[in-house]
Amino acid sequence: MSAGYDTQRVTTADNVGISFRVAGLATRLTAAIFDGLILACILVVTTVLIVAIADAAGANGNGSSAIEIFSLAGYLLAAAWLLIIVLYFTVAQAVSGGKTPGKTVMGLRAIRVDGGTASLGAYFLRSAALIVDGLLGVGPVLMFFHPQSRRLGDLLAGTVVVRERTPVTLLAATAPSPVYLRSIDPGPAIDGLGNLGEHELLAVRTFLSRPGLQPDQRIELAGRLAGRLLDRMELPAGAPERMWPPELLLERLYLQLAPRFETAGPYPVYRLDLRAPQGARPPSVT
Amino acid sequence: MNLEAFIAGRQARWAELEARTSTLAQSRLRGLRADDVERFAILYRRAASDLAIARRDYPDQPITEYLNSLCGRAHVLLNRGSPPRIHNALSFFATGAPRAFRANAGYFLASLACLLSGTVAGWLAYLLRPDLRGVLVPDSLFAEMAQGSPGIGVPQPFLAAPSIFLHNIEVAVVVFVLGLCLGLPTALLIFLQGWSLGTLGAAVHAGGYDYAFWSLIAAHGVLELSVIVTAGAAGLRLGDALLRPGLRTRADALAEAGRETVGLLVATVLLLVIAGTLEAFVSPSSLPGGAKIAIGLGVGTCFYAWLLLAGRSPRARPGLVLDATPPAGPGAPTALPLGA
Repeated sequence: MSAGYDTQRVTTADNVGISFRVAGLATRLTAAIFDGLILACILVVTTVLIVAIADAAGANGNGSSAIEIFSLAGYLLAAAWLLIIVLYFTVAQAVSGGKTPGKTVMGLRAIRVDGGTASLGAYFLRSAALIVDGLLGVGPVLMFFHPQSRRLGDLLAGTVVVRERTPVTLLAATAPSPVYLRSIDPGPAIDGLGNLGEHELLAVRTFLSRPGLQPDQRIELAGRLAGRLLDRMELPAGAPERMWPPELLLERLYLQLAPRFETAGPYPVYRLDLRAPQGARPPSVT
Repeated sequence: MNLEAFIAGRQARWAELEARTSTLAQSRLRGLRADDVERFAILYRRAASDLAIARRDYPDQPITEYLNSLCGRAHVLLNRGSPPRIHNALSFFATGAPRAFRANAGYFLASLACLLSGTVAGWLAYLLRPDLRGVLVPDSLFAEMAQGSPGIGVPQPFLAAPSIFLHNIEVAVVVFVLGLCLGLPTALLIFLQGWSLGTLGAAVHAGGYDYAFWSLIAAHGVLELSVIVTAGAAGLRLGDALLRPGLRTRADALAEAGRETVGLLVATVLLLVIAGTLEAFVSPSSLPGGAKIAIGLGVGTCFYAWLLLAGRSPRARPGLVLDATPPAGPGAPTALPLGA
């Protein structure tokens, strides 16, 4: 059910693959530090309470029984610390569906390897295994080498810790790709625009949103596209538009056509500078 | 299909699913109306099918990444078991835990063997080197035995009871979890439990305080040691899953071992509260020794009766058993020969 590093691939009942982004060692250690701070506060309060109770009980008795009470309290403290640690992680995850306060801060969640919410027993196993993973230090070593950064507790409980925050919002994902133009001057009105529709506009916009083409390819592509469009516009042979460079024609066509069809608002327009290195390409439209 | 047309036709559904996902993540499923859940499931399935299309047609577009993340969050919310209920916990106590115990009976015997070999070794160690008894057994206990008052001074049973059972729960959990280290520390810890019992037993036997000693520990010891041995059995199961995973991967074998032993562990460990209460209130009390031994045996009988007898499926009545062999005779259907 897993594929590659840092992702947990899950196949749903409809046979659709979902890739969960797995949290790495550093993120999880940071989350553990947050939880550790909260735990430290709880442990200090518990310790003070137990010592106070033992003190009150010891004050009533005679000397030897006071000593016994304090040895009992020591016994109690050692056990209480360990059980509080295990219970803290179990309860915190059970209440929130896999998120301790530290994980919430870091945007993490522990889920089953098949992508579902883990059970109470699984949370207990993860937490109890902290004795080996945390106190004996096995966990960080295993997480460093494991492709999905799973510690022994994860293996035992069948869980994996994934990142919850989305890398892409709906707004960013559905935003139209920007159009790159040399100038925003629409030029003189072009005859025969009425022959062009949304399909042609889409073709022009697709071309203009690809600044990463090689210059010679770009010129050739622009020539072929402009030739077809000129035919559809049924312009006479001597029309001045036929004299324009193909790229200029496409840009002006776009600027004059877009207001007719793009009712949802204008697309973002960037200034095209062909001399700039085209290393970082914007997302392109297929 | 063109990407923009793909997005335009579905965008509203994705936005709705995203909104429902974030409200669902904050609320409990129980508070939802049935048609809300149905709508959520429909939106999720359509988003999943959109994801499949996007993966095929627009593999490197941000929309694919977005749909993947959206479906992931919805998938986690939809695929969860029933929340913990009192009823489920009780039925697990009644049937699940005993069945898990019997399924792991071999590990229990192995764990018991560790305890008994430790006891024998401890006994022998005392016979061979009596001067070593102070290593595991405090001398003050022997002094009390000699005075004929083997009550361990427990001045505050209400403080002692939680101390004792919390400590024992800690020991049981540690014994179980150390099974992750291939089971060796588990076996060693169980062995050491037996060792200290054997050394003590040998020491009091040498002093002639057998009855006083065994009546002192019987009331709580039977249950306490049984639970520790059971936790050891669960730990040995984990170690065995790592050592001999069979045809599965080690991770899968370990996850299965964890799933099948965690309930048994928790169910038996909770009984340590009873054992600790007995140890704090009954064992040091002035009850006659015979009564303490009887209590210990009674509690032990209940414990093993529960684990060995509860949750067995009712014996199938003869009339309901399906006979696998076809009836022979002239009218009986015959199997077609292969290749006919």
